[in-house]
Amino acid sequence: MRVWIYLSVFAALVLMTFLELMIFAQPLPRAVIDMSIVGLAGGKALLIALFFQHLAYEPKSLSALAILGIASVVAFLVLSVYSIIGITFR
Amino acid sequence: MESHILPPGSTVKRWLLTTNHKDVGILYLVTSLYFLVVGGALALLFRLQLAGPNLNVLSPSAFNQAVTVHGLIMVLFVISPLAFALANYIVPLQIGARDLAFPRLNALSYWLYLFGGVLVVISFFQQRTLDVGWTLYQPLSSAFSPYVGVNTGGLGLALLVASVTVSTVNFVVTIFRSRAKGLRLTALPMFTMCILLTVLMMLYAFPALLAGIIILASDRILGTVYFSSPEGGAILWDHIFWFFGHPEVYIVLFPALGVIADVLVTFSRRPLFARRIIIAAMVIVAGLSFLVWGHHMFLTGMHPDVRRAFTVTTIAISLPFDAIILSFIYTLVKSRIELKTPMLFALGSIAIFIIGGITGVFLGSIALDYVLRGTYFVVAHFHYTMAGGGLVGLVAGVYYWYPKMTGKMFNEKLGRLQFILTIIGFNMLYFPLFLSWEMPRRVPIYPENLIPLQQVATVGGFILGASFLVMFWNLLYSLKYGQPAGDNPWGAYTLEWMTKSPPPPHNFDGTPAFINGQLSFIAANGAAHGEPETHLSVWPFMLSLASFLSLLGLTTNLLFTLVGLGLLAFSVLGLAGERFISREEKIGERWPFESVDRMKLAWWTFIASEVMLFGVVLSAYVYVRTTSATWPAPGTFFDIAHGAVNTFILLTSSLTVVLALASARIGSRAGTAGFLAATLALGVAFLFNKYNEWSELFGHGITFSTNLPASTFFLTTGIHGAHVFAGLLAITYLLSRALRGAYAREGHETLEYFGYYWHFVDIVWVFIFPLFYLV
Repeated sequence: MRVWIYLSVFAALVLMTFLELMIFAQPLPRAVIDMSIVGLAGGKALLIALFFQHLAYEPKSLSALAILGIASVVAFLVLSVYSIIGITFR
Repeated sequence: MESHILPPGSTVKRWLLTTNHKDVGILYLVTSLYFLVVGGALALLFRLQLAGPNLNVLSPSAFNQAVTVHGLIMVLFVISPLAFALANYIVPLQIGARDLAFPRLNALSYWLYLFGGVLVVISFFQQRTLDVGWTLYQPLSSAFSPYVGVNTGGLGLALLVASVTVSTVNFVVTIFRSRAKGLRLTALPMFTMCILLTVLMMLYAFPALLAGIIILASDRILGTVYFSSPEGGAILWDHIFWFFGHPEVYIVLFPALGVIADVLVTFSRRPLFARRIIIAAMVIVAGLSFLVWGHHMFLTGMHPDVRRAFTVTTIAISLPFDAIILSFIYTLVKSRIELKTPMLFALGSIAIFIIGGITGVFLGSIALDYVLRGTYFVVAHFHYTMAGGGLVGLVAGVYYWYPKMTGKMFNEKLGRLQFILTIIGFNMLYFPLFLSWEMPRRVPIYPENLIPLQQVATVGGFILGASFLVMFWNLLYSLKYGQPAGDNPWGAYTLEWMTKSPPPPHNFDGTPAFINGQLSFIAANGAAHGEPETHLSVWPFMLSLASFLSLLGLTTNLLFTLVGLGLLAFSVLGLAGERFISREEKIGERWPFESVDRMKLAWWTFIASEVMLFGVVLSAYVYVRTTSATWPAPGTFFDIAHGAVNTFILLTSSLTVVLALASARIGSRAGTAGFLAATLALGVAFLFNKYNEWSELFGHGITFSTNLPASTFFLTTGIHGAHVFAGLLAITYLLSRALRGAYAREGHETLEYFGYYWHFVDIVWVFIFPLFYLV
């Protein structure tokens, strides 16, 4: 793995963090801001996993271990949150 | 110490220090049977209470404690560990390995399990133990159960989860990386195949339980308000618990199905019918098991769409089981059945499980669930499934492999007697509970019209208990007086029967390989590969003892915790510095991880469990935000500057870790040490900034219990901070070695493995920052 790739990824991560902060300060609809910021966070996580954790250069089976976990979490998150939509607790 | 030679089995040293998979299997077996006695005794106690409609054998509180601890012990400390007793002993033999991939981790998982169980037992002597039902429903077990014994019991469960995580990593790596040449993944013996699917389910299910226990402990000890919040907190626990709890049903069941499949083949003299379909069905069940948890929550009033979805998945998961059971039955058609004890238990388990499975379909129906939820119908159903399908199936395995483990045959007559007592006792105990479907569970009194049913159940309970006494006597008696078994007394086909009974420490005199489908031994192994492999280490025991003391002190005397933490640090260093030789075979089947070494695979397996842990903790945060009527706007409650600074610090630390690795690869000692030192400094800066942030919040009167935003913030960033702290301890160790020249010459993989962890911690923060500060 070449050092310049590490440095490029780091630069991208810093840039994306600044982007998150800039988007936060924009007079945009809340949903747009939230989705953009969370999307950027996902992008940053992907960059770290692919290049700092070297998943881009490993067999896909290794990534599958983490992806199965992420899929399980997404199922948990979506179904648990959807289950209480529209319910008033007070 | 001659750590490659096992001391005699009659010495304490052997059993305290052994890392050999067969010894660890025996330890698991004995301990799980001990807990079976404990859990069974508790069951008989409350069955005595239920022998009459209004007896005073147990006070209501004692009844609740007995019921709760019986459930937890049977599910978590008996059935699964019994399965892993067999797995420890048999899986390496079935795949042609000399041991598990990480023998010391294997011993560690056993000792953590034992000490976890000891903590649960200790909690009995602390005024009052867990008394809230094994499901630990909220807010009963947080706000309304202020007893210290509940904390101790909960910490015991946390230790058990640690044991399970370690064990899971070990089995995943072993089965993927240590198979004999020619042993394709799809050709695994069914028991090993089922253990593989079981550990994969455990990998993704148990971290959810750990997340739940951490949040619960935080509510109970620190005063956070997740579960006591009226805004859906109780339902959040249901989601977390059952997201773990329903896969746990299959985690308990699959090993027994594996035993049954192997036993059916051996005693019917026929290959398993539709083996590929069975495997496919099991894979489908394992996947679907994570999508059915909501059927335990139909009465919570959750969204109708979600209820319908869970109904569909619940009914759907029963279909693959139909295929499995029909294939089992069809295997027997026109076969030459030998009704030896293992076969009797296998057939008995199938018959009982069919009843459990069918009644489970009832509970998948929303309409029926409204009537049956929380009644003895449910109790009967899950005992037919988990005790009948799981425990009875595993008893078949104990008898099946007893000759291999001991070199002795058990007494067949006693085995048959136990089978008869088990079937009679089991059905007398549990079938009347189906008929008691009007009776709520966990209540020590009942109406008089149920007296006959409940009394039959109590008599059945004692018969079932007696059946296990027969088994204990049989196993012990046969150990001394049993006939010599020979290597393959059943004429079985799988690899464990192709070696001596009991097998030697290195398992096979030669390296097993399947060439053109034929088994052969292609080279001598064991001591012939150079320096002998190690079989003894004191550190797994010491680490577990240290963990036990650390947790015990939290609910008794903090002195224990201080001693425990000191011992923990000492043990970690001892473990890291120990010269322990455990080699991987040079040849073997490793698909789909041929190019991934076992340490890398272990780290990624561990990280997958961490994904689940943080995933559930962050999901809990999103959940409570969704349920809360109000939430502070971003930037008004938490200081964005703190979060942003910490983001840049952690991102930079990730860069310095990879630069340390790059330096090590080119042999730069100064670069390696320098970048590791920079990582250490950045990690310390992160925690210092976090400390300042917390101090400011406390200074403004915002504490753990102020409100949900504060509770979620402190707990989530606290768990993350603990991970950063653990990483800093590791960096300190790595740096101390790097300064002495390590990694730059060889062994830079260690830095890469550490990087996996550190970058993962960074990734978690990448999500914490926007979720808590910006969104």
